[in-house]
Amino acid sequence: MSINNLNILNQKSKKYLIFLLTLILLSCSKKFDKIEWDYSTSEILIPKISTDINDSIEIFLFIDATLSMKGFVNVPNSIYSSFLEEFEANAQTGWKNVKLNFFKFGTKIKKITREQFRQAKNPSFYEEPGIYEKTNIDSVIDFISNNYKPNHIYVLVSDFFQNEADINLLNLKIKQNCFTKNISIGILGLKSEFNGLVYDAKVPPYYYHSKTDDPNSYRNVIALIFSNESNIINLIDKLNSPYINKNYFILIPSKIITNFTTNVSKPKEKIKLSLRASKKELNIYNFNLRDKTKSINLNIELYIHTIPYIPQINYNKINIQCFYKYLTKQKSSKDSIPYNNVYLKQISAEQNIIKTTIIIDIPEENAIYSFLIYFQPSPIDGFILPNWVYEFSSDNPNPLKDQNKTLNFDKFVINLVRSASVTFNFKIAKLYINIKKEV
Amino acid sequence: MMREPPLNYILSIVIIASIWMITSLGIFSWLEENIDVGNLPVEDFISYIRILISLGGLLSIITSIIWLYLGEKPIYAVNIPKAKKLWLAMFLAQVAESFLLTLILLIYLVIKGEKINFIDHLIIYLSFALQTFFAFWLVTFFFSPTNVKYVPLFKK
Repeated sequence: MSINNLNILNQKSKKYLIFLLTLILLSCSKKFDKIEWDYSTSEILIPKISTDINDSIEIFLFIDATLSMKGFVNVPNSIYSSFLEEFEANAQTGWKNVKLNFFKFGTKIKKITREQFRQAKNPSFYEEPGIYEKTNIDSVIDFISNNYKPNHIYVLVSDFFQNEADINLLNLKIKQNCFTKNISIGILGLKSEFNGLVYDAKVPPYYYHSKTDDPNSYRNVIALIFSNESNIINLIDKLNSPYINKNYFILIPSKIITNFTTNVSKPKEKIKLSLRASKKELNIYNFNLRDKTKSINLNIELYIHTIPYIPQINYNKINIQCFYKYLTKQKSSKDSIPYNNVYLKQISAEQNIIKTTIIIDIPEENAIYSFLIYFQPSPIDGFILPNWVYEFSSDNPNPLKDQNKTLNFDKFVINLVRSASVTFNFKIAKLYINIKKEV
Repeated sequence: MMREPPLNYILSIVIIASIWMITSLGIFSWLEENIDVGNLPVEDFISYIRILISLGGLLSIITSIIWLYLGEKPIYAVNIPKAKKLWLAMFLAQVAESFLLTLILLIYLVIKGEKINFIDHLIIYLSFALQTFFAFWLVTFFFSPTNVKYVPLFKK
């Protein structure tokens, strides 16, 4: 081959290379990446329970020592007495180092020794002047709020309310003093033999004696457990006693989801909307829109894993919360903007899979729009309480009806769940929809 | 000069590579912004048809080089009808290849449960055609050895 030929070839090769590089650069532009979010899921997911448990724990056990509790120990070896006795032993097994502190409360709180605690199965424990007169649960909540540390568990055992004002006050206290400090609550229901006077009702105190062979006639005792969700679950899992029915336990945690995944697809519609490469692991879905349509429909599947013991999520009452950012040739939004024009069209749920269709109204201007969409249980009725809560409750326990039930226990739990929903702003999943509109 | 080796080999490769750039990087990049493949990410689909067209381009390079090599042989210089038969067989193999690539694409879409519209199918087929039998015809039209330079279609 002559030198002339080689020169021609070199010149052609250079032009060819420049053309090739230009085309490659053009085809590699990633415009969706220009809008960024914090893709962390920490606002939704709780840390893994096994990694969130401390080696050492300090447990504070508060026993309601008012007169109404005396009926539980008037029956020898009652479930209540056994629960207290076994609690001490079982609680030791959950952590390497456990320190137990005992308190009795009523009109005031009093720290007691382990020996005094062991007297809780005797009626005299509930007759101490200055304590037995009134159930001031709110003072215990104040104590918890003032002393709480992440390696603390507070257990409060009581037969609960003497009047409706107690319920509202307790709800308010828990919301203000616990939920705002990210303290979760477990509620354990127990039924124990009872022989004594019931004070916690709208009517004057009345005598009630449960039937030995009929557990349905046993009176309610409630244990409220305050700590982080991991500690509470660990404690409950370790309470292996025949008297404890874990179906009678609910957890109101600060976060409810351990893991979630999403899937977004477009329905078969005559809209020029095409799916682009997405990052499913970050729940990011990219689309190109070349249509003048004002809104688009997207099919969404959410795979949800909740932590154990929480009330069932009411999938018919899921809300969405949306924020968006945009990028045009001229301008871009620096911060996310709340966006109300995203709607849930329909929703269905099967086990832990939620299927829904959302409608997103698309602004008119050509731009890249990035929508961050949260799925949340409704704060009002986003959870379905288990039946036992209603079985334990009565709006008017009296000598003729619901003698063994707890005054407005259901209202207490419902309000507690609502307060938690509002304070913790529970979220079950989130995803990012990026739409590049070019019409 | 352009019909002599190795220049005709090099130019053939450059031409077929240039066609690949026009189809794979040009037409398919445009398609990437405009095609709708249902719930299959467009990038995945485009990568797939880029693999197919690259395969087509590679086969057309191999076929062209075989033709340029055999065209030099005296056996075809003295027997033009035989050379014509060989060229036609190679050309028709390229035509078949373009249909085969389109068929593979259809099967891929059926497996993925998606479909594309007719115009997009047509654009993709024309790209395959450009990369296979047209590329073969083009390079053999211009760079066939002198002995067989009148063999390709439309060469007078």
